Amino acid sequence: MRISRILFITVPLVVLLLSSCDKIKTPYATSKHGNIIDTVMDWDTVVPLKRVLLEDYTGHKCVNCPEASLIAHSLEASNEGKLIVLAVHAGYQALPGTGNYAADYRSPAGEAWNVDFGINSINPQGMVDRKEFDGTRILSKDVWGNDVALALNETPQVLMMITNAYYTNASEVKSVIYSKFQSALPGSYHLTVCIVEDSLISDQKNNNPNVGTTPDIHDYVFMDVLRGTVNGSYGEVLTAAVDPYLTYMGKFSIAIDKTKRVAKNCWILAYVSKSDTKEIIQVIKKKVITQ
Amino acid sequence: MSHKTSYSSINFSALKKLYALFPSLLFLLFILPFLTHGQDLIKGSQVSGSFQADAQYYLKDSKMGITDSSIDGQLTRMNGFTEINYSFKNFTAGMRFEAYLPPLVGFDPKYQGYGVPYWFLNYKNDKLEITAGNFYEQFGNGLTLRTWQEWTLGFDNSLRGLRVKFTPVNGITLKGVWGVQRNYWEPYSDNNRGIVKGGDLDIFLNDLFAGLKDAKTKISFGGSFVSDYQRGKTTDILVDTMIYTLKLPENVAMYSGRLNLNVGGVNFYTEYAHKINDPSSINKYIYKDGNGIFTTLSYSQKGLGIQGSMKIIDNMSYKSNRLVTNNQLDINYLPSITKQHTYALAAMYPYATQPMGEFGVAGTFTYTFKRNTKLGGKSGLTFAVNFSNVNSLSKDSIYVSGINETTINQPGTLGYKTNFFTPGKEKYYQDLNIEVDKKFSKRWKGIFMYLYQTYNKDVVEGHLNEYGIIYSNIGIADITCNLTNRFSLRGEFQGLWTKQDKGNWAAGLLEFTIAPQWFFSIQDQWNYGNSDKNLQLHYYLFSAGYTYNTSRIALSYGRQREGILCVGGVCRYVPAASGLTLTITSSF
Repeated sequence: MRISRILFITVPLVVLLLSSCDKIKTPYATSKHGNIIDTVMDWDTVVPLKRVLLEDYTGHKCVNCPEASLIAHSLEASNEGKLIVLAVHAGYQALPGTGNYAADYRSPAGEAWNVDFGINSINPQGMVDRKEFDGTRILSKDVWGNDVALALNETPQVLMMITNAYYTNASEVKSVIYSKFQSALPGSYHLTVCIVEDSLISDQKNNNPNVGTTPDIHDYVFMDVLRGTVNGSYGEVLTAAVDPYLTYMGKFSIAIDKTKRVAKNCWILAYVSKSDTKEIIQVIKKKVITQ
Repeated sequence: MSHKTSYSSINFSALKKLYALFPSLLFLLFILPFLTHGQDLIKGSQVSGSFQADAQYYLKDSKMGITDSSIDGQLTRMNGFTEINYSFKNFTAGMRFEAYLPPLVGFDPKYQGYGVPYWFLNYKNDKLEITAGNFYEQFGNGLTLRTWQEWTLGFDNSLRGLRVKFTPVNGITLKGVWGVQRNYWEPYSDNNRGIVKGGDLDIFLNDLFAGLKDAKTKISFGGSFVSDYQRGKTTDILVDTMIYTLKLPENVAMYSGRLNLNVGGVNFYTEYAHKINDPSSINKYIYKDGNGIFTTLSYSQKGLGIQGSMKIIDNMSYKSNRLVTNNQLDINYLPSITKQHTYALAAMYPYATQPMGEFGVAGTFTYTFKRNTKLGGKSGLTFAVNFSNVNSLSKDSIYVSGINETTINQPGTLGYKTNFFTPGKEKYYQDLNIEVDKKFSKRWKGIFMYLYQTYNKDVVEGHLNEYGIIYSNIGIADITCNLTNRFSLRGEFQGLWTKQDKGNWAAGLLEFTIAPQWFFSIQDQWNYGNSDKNLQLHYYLFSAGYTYNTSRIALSYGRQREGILCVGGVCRYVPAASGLTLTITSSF
């Protein structure tokens, strides 16, 4: 009686459960679309150009920063299309205050870089491709011109392209970033994608009368402001084994919060860096809306 | 009620009817006694329940980087629940109302809302127990199935469906479950999660055979089988520049066997679980089977306890939605073998179980020196040493013909080969802690701890070579002075020393208690060793609380540091916060 009762319950249960098990046989995967990049990309049309990223660590309470910004943007103008400036508001002098200094232009990535690269809130400071020049990669504004020129002389190791498509209703930009290495470089590489915004207006401290009013420049226009990263402070692995015959593609859906950003003033900036040293080997930037 | 479950695609008409009838049954169970007997409940029936509300008022704190934008305009937030159970004879019914308006900072915003995510009707007699609605269940140690809820984590993976527990003869227990899991407030649909079904058999030989009833050796063993059905035979994924179409198993099964042996003071427990191919976002769509083993051996007698455990985990994440990568929709539970610390600085670097592979060992030795001995003194002394170590699991790459490469974790392949009983070289976590618990006199007692921890921040928190390994020394003294029978004063003094991460910390706490109702405390954690002087912050907190019978109200004001909160190896990120917190708890 006991055994029949147990069997009555267990047999249907075992049959039911064992039928709930799908063992997949090889091949588990099939390539459906092949190498999709080869069909849409024509790298011959891309000019092999080495672009350089100048990071300007700044803050609205930093009295020497307007002068540094002027130097950075002068260099950008004289190296048009080759030098990209990124204003990183970070550290103590970028803290939001009260009244005309209530704006907060900091970002988690900027704060992380400020600490990790040893900027330590002493603004203005800069980095050129996060490379070392004369034993240091934290560079005062006075040497930016010389070091940018040195970096621009290098041969491009990666070519990059960006396509941006902005969807107004969803307030979202869909970016596709293509990277193609020019040779089989050793090591691992990261891709970092940032949002940059122009034309942010608020007050800025200043002690240089040649640049603007002192001690405050009212309605100062902040340009090239880092507003955040899309894929982590240090991006994500692009490849751990470079294949120069492949095009590496990253697709990103980036929300542009209308209440906090003006889409027509935003840019997508992307760079490829060495995973170990974080040295940047190529950078590119494209406006979210071109109209 | 914002949580609605649709079963339109399941052909269980009886189940549908039961669900449709449930609100009526629940209503009757609660209301009928009042209608028939005024305010008196039916004789023999019982109502029990609990209530909790955690409300916070957030303040800007520029030093901690908390700004208007991070608070997002929602200065006040609240998590709360009320659970009520009613039992009458063989029947029990219960429900839990939850509200997150909006959820506290650090909890998933998807919880925002309110409703009744948990309700059940239960019938139980000597042989049979049937539950309809939501339920929590665990097979063995949970390697194949465990549904549970942890309020502080915002974790709830309860099953909604049917549960049957059957005891045909004394010593044999059969359990069966069939349902879908809770996922925030998201109503069930055919495509957003799977249907979980499982069975468990447990045999206790000493009860089954009369001759073994009084034997000193106790033996029990069991096994379980769980399957998850998720619709979809194929999916497309993008790997580098290639799009692959993967064949998917719609039914993913897991099974396990376990043994528990107890001889006198010695107890041995082991459980092994195996999972068939389960490509998912967490394992990067590899098809390797998963394996897990959990073993403990312990010995205890009066004043002495020795315990050792081992855990090996290989590709054991098991969820009812293969796309989910956070803590939601876990079907199984991978037990933690590392000690869960309660002191603030000891808990700064807690370990989170790594489902893709880990090899862990742990041991605890506890000894109580008797009263009136040289070390024990007048009141005795308890000494405990605990050690745990978790490494990666040794893995070998495999050759993938499609891409002509030898790789690890290539999607659409077996992924890797495992040397299952061999630990890998990478250390994930290590904790050596020594604790001495001493009562000096009727008035004074103290707990003293030393810890040395090794914490692989990149692995445990999921960073990419950003932080490396953190080595920390921690010292703790917890001293209590009973001033009178009613008044007591407790002080905690803690220090954490490390050259990595945020550097050294000091922490202190003073707590004054007026038994049995009042307490007042002041505490501070100071990151004095931070390399950035602007971040050498004090995380101060002032608290007071009042207890009346089973109800308690507590108010605190201060800062909460950023960190990781773990319960049983399951963790959530806690962001920095500053402000006023009100907590009310009650049970009846």
